[in-house]
Amino acid sequence: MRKITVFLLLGAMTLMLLAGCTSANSNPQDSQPVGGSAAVTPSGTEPEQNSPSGGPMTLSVWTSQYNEADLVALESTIAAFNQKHPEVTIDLVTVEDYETSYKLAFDGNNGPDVVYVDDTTQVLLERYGYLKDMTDYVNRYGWADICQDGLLDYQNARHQGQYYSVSAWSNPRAFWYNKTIFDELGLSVPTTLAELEECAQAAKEAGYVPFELSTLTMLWNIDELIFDYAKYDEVADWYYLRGTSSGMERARLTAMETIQGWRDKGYFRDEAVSLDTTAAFTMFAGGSSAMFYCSGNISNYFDSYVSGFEVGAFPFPPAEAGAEKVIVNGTHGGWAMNAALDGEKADMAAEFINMFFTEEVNRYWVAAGYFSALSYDTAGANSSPSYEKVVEACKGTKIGFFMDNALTGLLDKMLSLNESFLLGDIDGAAYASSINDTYEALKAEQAG
Amino acid sequence: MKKRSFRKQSAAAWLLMLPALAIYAWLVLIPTVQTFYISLTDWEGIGPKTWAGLSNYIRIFSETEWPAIWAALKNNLIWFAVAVTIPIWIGLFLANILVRGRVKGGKFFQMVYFMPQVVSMIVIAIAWKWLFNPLFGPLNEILGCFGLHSKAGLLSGKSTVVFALLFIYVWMSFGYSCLLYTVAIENVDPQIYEAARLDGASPAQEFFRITVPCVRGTTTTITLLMMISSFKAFDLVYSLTNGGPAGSSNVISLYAYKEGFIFSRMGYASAVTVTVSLLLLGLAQGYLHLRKRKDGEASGDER
Repeated sequence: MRKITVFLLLGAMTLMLLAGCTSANSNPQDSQPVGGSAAVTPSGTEPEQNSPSGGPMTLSVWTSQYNEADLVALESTIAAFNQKHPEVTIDLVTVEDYETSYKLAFDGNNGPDVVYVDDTTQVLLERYGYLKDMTDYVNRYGWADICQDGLLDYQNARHQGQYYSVSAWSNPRAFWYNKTIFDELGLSVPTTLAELEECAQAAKEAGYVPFELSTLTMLWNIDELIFDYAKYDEVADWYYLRGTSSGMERARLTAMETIQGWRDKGYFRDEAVSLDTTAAFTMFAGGSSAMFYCSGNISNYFDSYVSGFEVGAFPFPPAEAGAEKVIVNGTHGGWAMNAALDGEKADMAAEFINMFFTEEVNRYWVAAGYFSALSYDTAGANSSPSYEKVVEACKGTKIGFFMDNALTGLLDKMLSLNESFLLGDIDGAAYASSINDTYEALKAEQAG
Repeated sequence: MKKRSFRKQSAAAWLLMLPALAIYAWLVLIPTVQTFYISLTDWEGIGPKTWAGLSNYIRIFSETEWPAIWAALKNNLIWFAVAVTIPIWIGLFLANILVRGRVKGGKFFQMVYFMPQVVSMIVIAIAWKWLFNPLFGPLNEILGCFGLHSKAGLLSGKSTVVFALLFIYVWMSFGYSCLLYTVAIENVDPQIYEAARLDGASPAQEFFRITVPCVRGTTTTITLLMMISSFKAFDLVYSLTNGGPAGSSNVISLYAYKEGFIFSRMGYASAVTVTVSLLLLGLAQGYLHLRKRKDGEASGDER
């Protein structure tokens, strides 16, 4: 009798185990509900109409934003939305490994109603029809009219003129500089490439490291130089896979020759190849480097960790005085809708996305450290002095591109080539040639 | 009567194994079959899986892909050569000292040696990254005293990065083999050592003539595990160098990961994974066969 009891217990355990594994499969991976209602509601292929018009409705919103400041801004956005639409519950989920999670969720017909995507993940989701064409909503709400010129096109690289996601935030890069060193050497903020090199040379002669950089930030420097040497339309054609002009190829080669010149003159640290961006920042914060090119998003780190000298910011200068200032700048993610949404639910999702384009909510995100790409006055919304310096530095600049985002996998190849270049294994010409070959091969594979 | 009893016992055994088999099937068998199926498609990790036949396998040996694969495999072979020797011998040597040397606080030392196994890989990677940093870390300075200073740091030198990673790997691994050997050596009959001492054997002779042969079963197990681990090396490389600089520390698992998750070539990545798994299976079987033959010869000699 005891043996039978044991066998029955074991059998029941096995069944429970199998049942548990099956039910766990339908939940999104790596997600923890934040705010909103407790459980995640999969949207499925059929749009869930929980209620008749004006009645309660639930919108599932997935995002990869997980910083404390981001979550505070999200909660404020949801609260502002619920003031207008108290009948709608926003089921917010933060997703860690978002690229894999999004793919699995949408493939499994469990994609959220609204999703925060970067431009490269968006390309894949778009290709398989998982995202809704929001062009009508863009026109209806006038989002493009209040957005920085070129921003929405950047986010929707593969469908120019059509919008599958929208963004209210830009992501500028700028030079941070050590004001103490500049004052000591009698340098002023460079406004041309030649002046930038003069500052670097002066810093080098005085025993400072002219440019503190990592392999990643060097990549953006190369992009900036390409903007200086090529026509904007040539770069845009390359980025949007419309073709590579000879002007673009020449600009890349010239950019690499410039960078090679900087390397040969010792404007970078010898150890640059071993530094990641955090280490490069740490070296700059130590006060031995004149300039540090990086993201504007780390402005609050300057306030917290840099002491002993004052920090300033300026945009990467153009080749010639008075030329149009195009800087490496893109979107800081965008909001998209599930292609399965229609009717009321789609309209309500658009209403939620529209909140990010309102002046009130825009200020919440500026307070969280995001750079507004909208035409509102955000003065005073962010208390960080360094943040304001980046805003001031990037005023009047035109949105450029993160060239590594042009194709999936291009960043990995570019970083590897950067390392080879910094180690001295290849020269600028070989680098430019390798990038061209890689670009063409990836383009043939991904764009057909 | 015997047959019925055997059937009863077999049924009981199968029922008891069912939960473990179910988990094994769910977490190992089914994903393995799925991976093989995906390797025959052009799947990007999203969307429908279009049939590609053996083209992904053919691609592995193509002019465009094989150089990178071979470069990664070479690093794995170096990893293999180190993994099946150094941490095993260090572990065996230390275990011998701890057990045979009757060291006070032996358990404490065992715990310390084993600690890297339980610490998160991310923590280990961050700590060693800073130790190896050419500007902040002490290692470069210490090596400079021996004329081995590297301006860009050992992790950024194409000829030094793999060995720097292997140094960390050995540091992480020897504790595991030490633990297993401690148990094995404790189980060796002390009378054998007694007899050897009476015959005038030195400690070194005791180690090589008694300890090493008596723990050869454990050595076989550890060697097999290290062999497999050397081809699965991923997290250390990914966290510290991401295969750099310029791909010089790339290993096959990282190569497959990038192909699948960075370049969205999931079908091709699966084909690489299946191929490497078969290679590993062959190596493991070959090793076990060799081991069995050697053990058989040794038993024959003893007779």
